[in-house]
Amino acid sequence: MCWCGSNIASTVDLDRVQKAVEKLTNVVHVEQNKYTCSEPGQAQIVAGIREHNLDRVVVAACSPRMHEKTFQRTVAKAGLNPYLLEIANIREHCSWVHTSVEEATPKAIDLLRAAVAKVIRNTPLTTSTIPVEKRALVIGGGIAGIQAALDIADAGHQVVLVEKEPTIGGRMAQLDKTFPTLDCSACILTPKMVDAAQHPKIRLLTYAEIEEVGGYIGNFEVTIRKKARSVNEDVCTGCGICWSKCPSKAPNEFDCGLGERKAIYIPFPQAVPNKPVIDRENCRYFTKGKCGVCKKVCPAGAVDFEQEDELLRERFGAIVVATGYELFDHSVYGEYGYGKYPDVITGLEFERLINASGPTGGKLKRPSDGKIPKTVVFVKCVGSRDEAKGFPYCSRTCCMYTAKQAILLREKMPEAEAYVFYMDVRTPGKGYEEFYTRATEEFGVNYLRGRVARIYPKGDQLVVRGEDTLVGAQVEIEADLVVLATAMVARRDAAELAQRIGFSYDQYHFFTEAHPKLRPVETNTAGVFLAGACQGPKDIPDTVAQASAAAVKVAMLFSRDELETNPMVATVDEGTCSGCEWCKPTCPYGAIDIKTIEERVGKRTVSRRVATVNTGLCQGCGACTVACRSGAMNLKGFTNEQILAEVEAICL
Amino acid sequence: MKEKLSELKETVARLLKDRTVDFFIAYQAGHSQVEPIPFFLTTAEHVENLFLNNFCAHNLSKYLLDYLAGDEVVGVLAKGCDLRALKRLLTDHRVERGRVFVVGLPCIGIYDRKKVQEVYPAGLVEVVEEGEEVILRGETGDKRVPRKEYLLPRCLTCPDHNPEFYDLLLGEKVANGPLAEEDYSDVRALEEWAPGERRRYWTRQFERCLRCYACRNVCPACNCRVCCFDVAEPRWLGKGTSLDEQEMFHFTRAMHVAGRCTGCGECERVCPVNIPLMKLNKKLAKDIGALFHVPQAEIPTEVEPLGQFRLGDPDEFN
Ligand SMILES: Cc1cc2nc3c(=O)[nH]c(=O)nc-3n(C[C@H](O)[C@H](O)[C@H](O)COP(=O)(O)OP(=O)(O)OC[C@H]3O[C@@H](n4cnc5c(N)ncnc54)[C@H](O)[C@@H]3O)c2cc1C
Ligand code: SF4
Ligand code: SF4
Repeated sequence: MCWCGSNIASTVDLDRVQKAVEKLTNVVHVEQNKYTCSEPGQAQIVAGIREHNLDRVVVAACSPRMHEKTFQRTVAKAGLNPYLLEIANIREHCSWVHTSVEEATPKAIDLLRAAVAKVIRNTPLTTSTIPVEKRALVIGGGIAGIQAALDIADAGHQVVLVEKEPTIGGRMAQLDKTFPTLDCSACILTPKMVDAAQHPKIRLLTYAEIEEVGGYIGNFEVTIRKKARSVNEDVCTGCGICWSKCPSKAPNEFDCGLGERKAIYIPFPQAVPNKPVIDRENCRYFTKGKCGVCKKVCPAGAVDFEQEDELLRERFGAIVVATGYELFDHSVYGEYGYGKYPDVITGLEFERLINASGPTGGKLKRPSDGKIPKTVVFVKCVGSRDEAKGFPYCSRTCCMYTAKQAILLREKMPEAEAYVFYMDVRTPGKGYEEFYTRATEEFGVNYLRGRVARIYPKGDQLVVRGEDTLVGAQVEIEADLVVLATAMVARRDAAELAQRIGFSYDQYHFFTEAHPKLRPVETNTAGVFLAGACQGPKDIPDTVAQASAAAVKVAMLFSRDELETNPMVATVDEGTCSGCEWCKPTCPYGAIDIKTIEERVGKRTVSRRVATVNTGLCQGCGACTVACRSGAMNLKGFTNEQILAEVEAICL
Repeated sequence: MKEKLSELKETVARLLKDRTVDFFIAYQAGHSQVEPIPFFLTTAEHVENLFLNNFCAHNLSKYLLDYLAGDEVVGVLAKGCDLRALKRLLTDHRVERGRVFVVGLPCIGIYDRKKVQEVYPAGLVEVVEEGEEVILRGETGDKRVPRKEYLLPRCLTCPDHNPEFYDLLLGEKVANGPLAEEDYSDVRALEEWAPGERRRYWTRQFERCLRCYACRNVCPACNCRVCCFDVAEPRWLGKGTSLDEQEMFHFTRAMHVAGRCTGCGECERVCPVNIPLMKLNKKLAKDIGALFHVPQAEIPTEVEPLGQFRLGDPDEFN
């Protein structure tokens, strides 16, 4: 029994607990430590086992989530099977949630009584091993996916990088300069894109999506749909004749629809791979049946109108999900014009408008009439920190990129005025506060604290009306351009992808990490890791850090040839199983199948259907064991008998 | 119903003779007119003992579970409600369709033995239907009563007077009467009681339970190979009679059939101490209808409301 310093000992009277527990049947020896997880504490357990010849151990301490593994190793050191250990959680379940010793002490006794009742019914469990396929799948080719793929490949493992767009690069490729150093985004990103494309261990699959994911850690079976590009990548040289001659135009998604591209196109000049794709919806050949100019002009004969989607089946040992984010659709804000005023733009559109490779060649012209804006108003927290219309969370990057954009504006056009409406300025990063200070002091950006109440047109300008809460006055600014720092939100297909792979996501559809502090890059599905903004809003430095962390997790996994399986899996008592198949659809991991067994009944051999559990897929969640009415499904380590014994120990 | 007896005899004789079925499950006369009992025929000679009237309530398809290990084809007589019970067994993969020969029996309602016996404790000769009324003809004279009041509760909300499928139908299909929607008024009434009052009500009910397990034995949804109430280890329930154990039995039984109960009401019909089991079953059916949009009449369904992991489930799974 652990004091946990004073964490437990100050609320639970452990001497009283000891007296009560010593009287329980099967209890041979009880002792207390100040910190059981410390080396002396563990040594005491080992000594106790040896001295008293114990064959079961209960540690009454913190949650099994904290130290179950530690103590399993401890008892193993003394020669016991690690699964003959039980933890009674008298900290999180007891001392931390009670203030009165009189309440906490009897409860601690109950918890121990339950643990003793259970441990008596514990049986030794053994792990088995499964081979690891040392190939990684990275989904999403933004900076997160690129970084993760490069790191895994540099560790010596094969990587397939799947990107749904025709090029890798993600949002970072759309940015102009990046805070807090103001280095050009493309200058630092494109070398990585090229590295990824040329790395002998990385295979890029662009214009591709995940169709199906089966299997389990070490052995995922993935079907990838490679969408028809209509261009044979192997022969295309990327010369560009096709897109210069193509007669059909469509809005360029890469420029947020502010500029145009051809029907056969590469999204931007540094696209990787530098191979075009035909947007069939806008192609004359596909919509009207005639044209085919690109096919005629292509010197390599690469254009292939007949190409079809291809399904590739691949095996992977680990998956890194790096699918990034989208921007909040601000058209729900009536006060900002429901997204109908062309000169109210998003931050991302601003990035494209000041970028040299953007639709205006880097000249900041406003979308409505191409005029050079003289007054630009930036509005922060559009959709962030707004439970009513958007999301309650903070998007984390907008404070910084708004400061950046205001600086870029003032740097490029010193005669233009920049105003920023803000709720707070959050700068918790290295060099971030200094960067913000430069915006206000060196670049003279006007920060106004308050929400914008309304934006409405007046002549060819927009009036931005809001409150300056620091001065306590209404302000109205006649602006030529308004830039909204719209919230970073999850991709619209995020939930669907998570479901397809089989891991969880939060209420906003950002992917959930296994532990918010201690396991930030793992999902709760073994072998699936997270990187970048798909897990929550984050900027590039954090994205890259998380991507490298995910890569290390993959490399760790691949450093072994075999994996130990979790022995706490479901088993079927075939004698009891009715073969009703109720458990099969309740298993979230598709671990249950039905098989036919033969048995003797009287003089005949009859066949009968029963459930069977794939121990590689089973995660030991226990859903099937409660679904099974006759109790034929049982979870090793948490059997019906064990749980019933615990209940009876507490209730009877 | 009675008028179909001769056709039934002919049919069963023929099926047994030409070996379409190896044996047949139907009804024979019991102690009285109101208590027909199951009849298992192995040869055509026995057809003379077949019996049929408007008290043939028993769901016979449940007996199919006794013939799982084997390859005989079993013939069974099934009304609309019995067919839903059979569907339950088929959906639960307990019975193979190929081994059942269904003789469908159109039916416009079965009389509730207990209600009739209140009027006629003994000596009932027959029941004659006359539109919305019935004549209870007994040794001591006739009694004319409203038909609806003497039907089994399940017949009042019967969604299907004809079995949904069959291999052979006795006589013509009958027209489905106007379907009285299940209104759950009895459940609603209970829901409005104060918790303490409800508790007292159920205590009074469960106290009477004899743990005879008749309700389980008759229930088409209780079709496990091994019932959790019968195993020694783990001991889910003690063997003795005590309110705790009785309650535990009833809650467990109700939860084990939740979302699977076909609404036949056989449990309540067979209970020797008149525990209103259908109130529990219906409460669950009502909630499942509201939460999962699966009405009672659609059960059994392909996608079981409580038997699947759904990715779009509003609750988190961790
Ligand atoms: C206006 C603006 C300015 C910014 N400025 C800065 C800055 O100056 N400095 C800074 O540090 N950060 C900045 N950021 C934040 C930066 O954009 C992100 O931190 C970064 O892009 C996150 O990278 P990512 O790889 O996680 O996601 P993304 O860049 O979104 O990449 C995800 C990739 O995955 C692909 N994908 C998505 N779904 C699938 C799927 N189902 N299958 C296959 N592929 C898929 C996408 O096509 C995309 O290529 C800014 C953000 C905005 C909105
Ligand atoms: S314990 Fe969970 S994962 Fe394992 S077979 Fe049962 S339902 Fe599936
Ligand atoms: S409810 Fe009735 S039928 Fe069911 S066990 Fe109790 S007494 Fe028997």
